[in-house]
Amino acid sequence: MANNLLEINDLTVTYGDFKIITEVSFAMKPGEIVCIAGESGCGKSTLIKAVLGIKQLGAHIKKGSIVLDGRDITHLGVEERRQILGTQIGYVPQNTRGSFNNIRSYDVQYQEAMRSHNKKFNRVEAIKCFDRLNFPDSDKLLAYQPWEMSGGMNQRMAIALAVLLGPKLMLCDEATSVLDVTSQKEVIEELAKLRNELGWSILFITHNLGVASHIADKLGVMYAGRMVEYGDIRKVLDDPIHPYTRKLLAAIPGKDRKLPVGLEGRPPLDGAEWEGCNFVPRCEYCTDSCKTRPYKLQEIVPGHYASCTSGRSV
Amino acid sequence: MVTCEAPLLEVRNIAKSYGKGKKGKEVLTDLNFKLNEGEVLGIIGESGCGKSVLLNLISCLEPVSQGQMLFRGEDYTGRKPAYVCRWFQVIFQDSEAAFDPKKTIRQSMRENLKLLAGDLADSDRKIDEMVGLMGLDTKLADRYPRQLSGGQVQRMSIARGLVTEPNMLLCDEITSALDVSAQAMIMQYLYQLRKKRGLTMVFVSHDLALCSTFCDRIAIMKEGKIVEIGTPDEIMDAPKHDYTKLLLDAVLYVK
Repeated sequence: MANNLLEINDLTVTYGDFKIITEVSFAMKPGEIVCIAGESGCGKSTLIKAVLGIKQLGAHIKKGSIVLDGRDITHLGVEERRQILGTQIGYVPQNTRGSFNNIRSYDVQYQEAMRSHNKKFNRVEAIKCFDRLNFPDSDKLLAYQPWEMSGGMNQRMAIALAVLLGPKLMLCDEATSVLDVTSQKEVIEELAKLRNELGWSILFITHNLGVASHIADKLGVMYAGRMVEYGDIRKVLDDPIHPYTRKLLAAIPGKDRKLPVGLEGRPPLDGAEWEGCNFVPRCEYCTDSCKTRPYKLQEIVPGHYASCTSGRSV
Repeated sequence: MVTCEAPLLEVRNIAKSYGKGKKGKEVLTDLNFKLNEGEVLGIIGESGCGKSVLLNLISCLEPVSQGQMLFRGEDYTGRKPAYVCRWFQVIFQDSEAAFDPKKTIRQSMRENLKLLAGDLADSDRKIDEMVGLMGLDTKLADRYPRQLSGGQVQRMSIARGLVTEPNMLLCDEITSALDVSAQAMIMQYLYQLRKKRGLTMVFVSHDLALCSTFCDRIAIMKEGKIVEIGTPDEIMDAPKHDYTKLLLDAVLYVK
């Protein structure tokens, strides 16, 4: 399977005894945008951190592998990992205020970032890149310092820096969640444009299914560390199979201006070992067999996987 | 009875500026609106447009620079927060920070009752009733804030606001830090509260889609001014101001 850019096989990640991610597997092809959605604490961010290298954060990859472009990067050393971060894997965090030094110009900070990845910084190229992303005042931007910029603009400068480093795979961890709706839309459009022009692959973590539906090709829904549904975005949104996905969709305020329907309770976040389905306490369709049947992601329709089909209207 | 005819809250030409002279910056300019009993007003705007400052002014947490605010016809401009908190209760975005971490939820709520109602007679019954009204188990009130999930703490803070039976709730981005499912739960309970108690609310948010499901009227704010105010149908179907159109365009619905 050499044509997959990123492959995650049977990944299990723990913090101490706490199991954060349980047996997650999926694959990304080059040029694809994959969104992972789910509630807080379901392990979406940990998934991205596992790809970036998680040992420094105190977590431990217990089982499974992460393969980038045919190369196993699960247990890379610090120095080897440094060589692929930035140049092969780009990363945009939720809050980029902390990624830049507030009182130094972007110019200096761009130069530093490029140098530390053994690349040459070319101002003309940077400005060309800003133009391609439709930034206003592209020729003056580098002279600014982060504190002079709005949160949205700062986020876009971080994306531009990631673009200049030219990675194959881009990881966005809630990259638009702190932004206003108008800047959010701009950033989403920019990311989609980058994919179309540069053939980028983006792994996009979000809790906002509205955002996901506008850029993603594939959608994965995670619940308490497990991938409960995965497939083409249209299939998942039009015909959600897992009961949790349907609940998640019903909770989003829609165009019909009806009050959204919530989901009582909270996911099991204590990291305990679950026998059977871990959605049982909140599921209205659960039966006795759900409590013992082991978790398994099955292909229900071609290209559409789910771990449960209870209550699905056909 | 002239006072009964007056709207619950009236805001006349209020303005707020920080700093003086050349360095001064006006953050709110000439705001006017009325709010009738039982009505829910949504206030929408981007970060920095002055939505939160407006709530601080209404609840007297900050003094106004200019203008008047009337509650049932009574001018309360320049009063202390302690004077108006029996009318208005403010609910903030980060509720876990609004509760004392060393006290159980029930102890925090008792403090509210002691300050506002003066006595603690019947306090447990009142607290249990409000906690039940927000759809939570009354046992949860004996826990500490950190032992509850984000959505549960937020519902507890609404219950705390309601325990002293205010006339109005001022909600400042109360669901922004929550997951969609927890957000939807809160909206459902707020909706039931409206039906049961006819509660008046000012609902500040940046989510136009959410406000359109819940509010009677929506005010769109930009750079310290209200640029448009109308019912959700007027705002969503026939926006007049360019900025409203821009906001509407940026709402990402699930396709």
